Amino acid sequence: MIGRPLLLVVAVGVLVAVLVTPAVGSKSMFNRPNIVVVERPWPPLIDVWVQIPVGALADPGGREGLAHLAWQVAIEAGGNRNKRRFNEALDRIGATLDAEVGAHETVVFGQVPTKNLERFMELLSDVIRRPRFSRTDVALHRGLAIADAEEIYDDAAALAHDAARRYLNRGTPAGRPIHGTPATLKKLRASHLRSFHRRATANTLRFGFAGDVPRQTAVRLVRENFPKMNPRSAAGNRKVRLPIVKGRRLLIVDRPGRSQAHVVILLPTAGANRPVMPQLSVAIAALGGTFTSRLVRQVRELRGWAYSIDATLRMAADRGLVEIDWAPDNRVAAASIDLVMRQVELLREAGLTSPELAFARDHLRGAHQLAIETAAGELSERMRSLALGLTIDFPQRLSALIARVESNHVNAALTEYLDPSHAVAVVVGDAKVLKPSFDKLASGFAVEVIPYNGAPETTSLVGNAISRTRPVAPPAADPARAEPAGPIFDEHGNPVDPASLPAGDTAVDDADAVDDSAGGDAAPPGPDDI
Amino acid sequence: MTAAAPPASVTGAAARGKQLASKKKRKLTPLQAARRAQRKLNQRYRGESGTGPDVVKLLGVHRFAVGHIEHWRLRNGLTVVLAPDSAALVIAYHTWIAAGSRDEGKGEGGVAHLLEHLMFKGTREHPPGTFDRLLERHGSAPNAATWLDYTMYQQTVPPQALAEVARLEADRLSALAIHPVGLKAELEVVLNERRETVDNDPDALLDEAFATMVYGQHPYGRPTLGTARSIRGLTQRTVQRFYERHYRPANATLVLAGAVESIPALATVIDAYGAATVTDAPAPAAKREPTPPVAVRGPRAATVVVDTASDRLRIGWLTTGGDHADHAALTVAAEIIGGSPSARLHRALVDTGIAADVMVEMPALAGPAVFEIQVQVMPGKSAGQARDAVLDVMRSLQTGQPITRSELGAARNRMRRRWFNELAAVDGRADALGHAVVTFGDPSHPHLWWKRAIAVREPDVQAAVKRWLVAAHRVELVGRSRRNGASR
Repeated sequence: MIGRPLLLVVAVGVLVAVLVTPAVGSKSMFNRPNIVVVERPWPPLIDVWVQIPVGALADPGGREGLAHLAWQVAIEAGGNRNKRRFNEALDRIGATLDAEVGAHETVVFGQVPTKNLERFMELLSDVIRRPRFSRTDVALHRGLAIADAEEIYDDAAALAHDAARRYLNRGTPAGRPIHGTPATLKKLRASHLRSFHRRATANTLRFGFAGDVPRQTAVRLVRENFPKMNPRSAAGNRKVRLPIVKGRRLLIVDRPGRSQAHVVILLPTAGANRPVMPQLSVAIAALGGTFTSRLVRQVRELRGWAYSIDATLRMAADRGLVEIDWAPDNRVAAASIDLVMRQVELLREAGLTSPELAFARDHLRGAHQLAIETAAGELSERMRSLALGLTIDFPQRLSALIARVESNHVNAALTEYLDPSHAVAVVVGDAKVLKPSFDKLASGFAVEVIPYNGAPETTSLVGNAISRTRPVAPPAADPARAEPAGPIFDEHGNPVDPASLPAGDTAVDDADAVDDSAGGDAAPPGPDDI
Repeated sequence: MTAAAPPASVTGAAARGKQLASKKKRKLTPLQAARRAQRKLNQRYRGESGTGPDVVKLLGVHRFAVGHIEHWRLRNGLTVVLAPDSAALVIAYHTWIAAGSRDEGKGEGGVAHLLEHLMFKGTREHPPGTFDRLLERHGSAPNAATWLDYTMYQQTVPPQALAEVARLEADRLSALAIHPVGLKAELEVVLNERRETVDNDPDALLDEAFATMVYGQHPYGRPTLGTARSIRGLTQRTVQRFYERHYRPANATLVLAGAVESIPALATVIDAYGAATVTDAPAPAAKREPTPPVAVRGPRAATVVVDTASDRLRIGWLTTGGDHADHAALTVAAEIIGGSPSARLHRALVDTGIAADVMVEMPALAGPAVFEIQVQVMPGKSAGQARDAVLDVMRSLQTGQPITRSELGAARNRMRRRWFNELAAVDGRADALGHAVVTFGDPSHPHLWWKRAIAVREPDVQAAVKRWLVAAHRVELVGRSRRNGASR
């Protein structure tokens, strides 16, 4: 089915209105599980999460992919059931079970019909407390993980995102490949997996339930199936000091023969516990969080340069990221990077207009109402907030704070926490075609190239220093494509007749006006100009 | 003489009980309530004279997984399906047009999908961007999709936005403005969409080649996106003609699921779409030819070289449409062989190290669908090995290894869980109902299909497999990996 691209606004959910469901958030006590329950009577299904505060950051150097492989094998067999019997047991109760390993945490999650919750929790307990790690299973899943690691080379979007994270955090454990590489995966044995799993699950676990389940039932089932484990053997993520991004650098991940590039730009910003999340959420929504945002208008609507483009605020405990993602045709890839960076600079320099601010606030508050429509959606938001070290009611508080965000707050937050002179970009595409135009980027990125199966975390190119006041030339205007006048909206988002506006009131099109007025006269700065 | 009020001392439990009993008696069934709504709405819109044709007609009330659904037709020909849920806090508002890529004529390849994009580009009343802007203000993310049999437009909104959505949707259904400048930019967007989702995705390229192999000149064999060449050839006139041919009330179905009540919701729709002011008989829906029959005189096979890490295999059998009695049994068969890590194909291919992944699909189309098995072969293994393993499993399904009760039960459990999961959000409900109306002409189709699927027994599966999944209907396509040694 062919559809419009889906735009996501912020990685962790954003806002809320009223907590209508009973939720339990127990105080965190060492080695005692926390339990979160979002109760809804329909449908007769329950989503169950187990959050384990250990992720790929705990992988030893040279054994990248250990956490990922350990959990892929663990969820396949447990207790006295081998892989086949375990999967048949899940099938009999109509349940699913999966695991996702991130840098900082692992989530084991499943879904089960209400009537079979008790049996599901027994199976879940086997996976957490009595996994099997048979040599046969490990060998099979090692092969599958290696196949997956090679498959990513054919998926430009996945490759670009993976490479961007590694390129951003190069030189630190945070820059290692979460899913491992064929070389590191080959080294992993059953004993490595067993040992890692035992130490990871000795931590304090957090359980989440969403759906047709009373909180007392959830608490009882956790108590019955997850008695205290040995805390002395607990493993934790290694402490990582994230590298400071200096200047602008761009990595081309060479995929010869591609007619299109996939671009990911990352701009470091504040950690999730900073009080500027409401302001940043609003700003990034206006930049690229909706179909009418600045980036979508500039890149897609006016120029047709990409099927979609979106800017997302990725919240993280230590350092947040603004992530911008699009796939332009090779011929306009360089121009589109310049255009996008110029839009980010304009956002920081001029902030939001009043109509943009009002619109973004309304949109984010409404979007959250929709995101928590289902119990599973609400559980996801709450669990992710807790994983970031935030409180369980963070989404509601964020919503309330977003409602009060003012223009000067946004501008102050952008000044302090969004500096476009420091950015990394990754472009997956045909280097032979792209590199000549990228060497002349007006946005001043230093450019390097690696093969598609290279290691972005081992690169060493220093980013180009960018002057904050440096004028950046916009891409040359295409005379054949006259830009239609865009609609103008009042602070409530209603369309306004341009003729009724006072002179000089450019409303939502401030950004366009500045962009266009710069014209195409200024020569793109070369490295010597910076 | 009026009846005396009961003395205060007896207005307690007995009187309350009586009151409760009478309230209970007045509670209407969904059918009675819908008939009442029909009566009231027709009275309201006939005006003071009380004469004239009905504005709204109740076509049926059906059971649904979540309560019931109401099936309506307005005087202007618009079909409306309501799926009320008193517990819901939001409304899914879908517009389904019974026109997809199968309805494209010569020189129109990709026009249904391009038009889907242009529907967000403004009308005579609303300039470009207004539609998205007004709905995004409520938190909504208006979206749309085009497929073989239909084009659909969706948004989820809070109840207070219902009238605004209805007004905007009604406007673009009748007064779309296609500007040359907007069209030019959107053509580039669509070409980029094709580059991103097909041209630079080896698996998607294989899917297109496979559809062409199976369907040949049948409309289902054409890519919904169109080819780069056909997209470039689309003009404002072509798009306008397609719009005028298919985008009319009699060819559209609205589905409102969630926080809706019949009378206010229908009144909102009637007002927005001007159904009360229609004096002539509604323009008939565009005549839609049934999809022509298609025959595979097989088995047919082909091999192409692909730029993937490992070989790929597609094996498909041309079967039947979603309203055929065998469709449910074939869907259960797909679930039995490929629905989980304990299913037959996974055991035969993944657990043995031949494949990294295997997937089985049995779509529900108006015309003949392909029962398709997709295999991502393990690096170092060949598509030939995967093919032998797949065909062994299919033979075992027909003869050697009968379906066990436990396999059937597991398949049912998985399907049930997936079905409820799809309906958890109001958008999923609107999706199921809209698809049912434009594809099969009946909003009760999902409920009836589900009843059929639950009733499927082992002999039904085997009979359907023997009837449809036979060599004469089979098509095979191998994607030989360039990087995995195409010399094998």
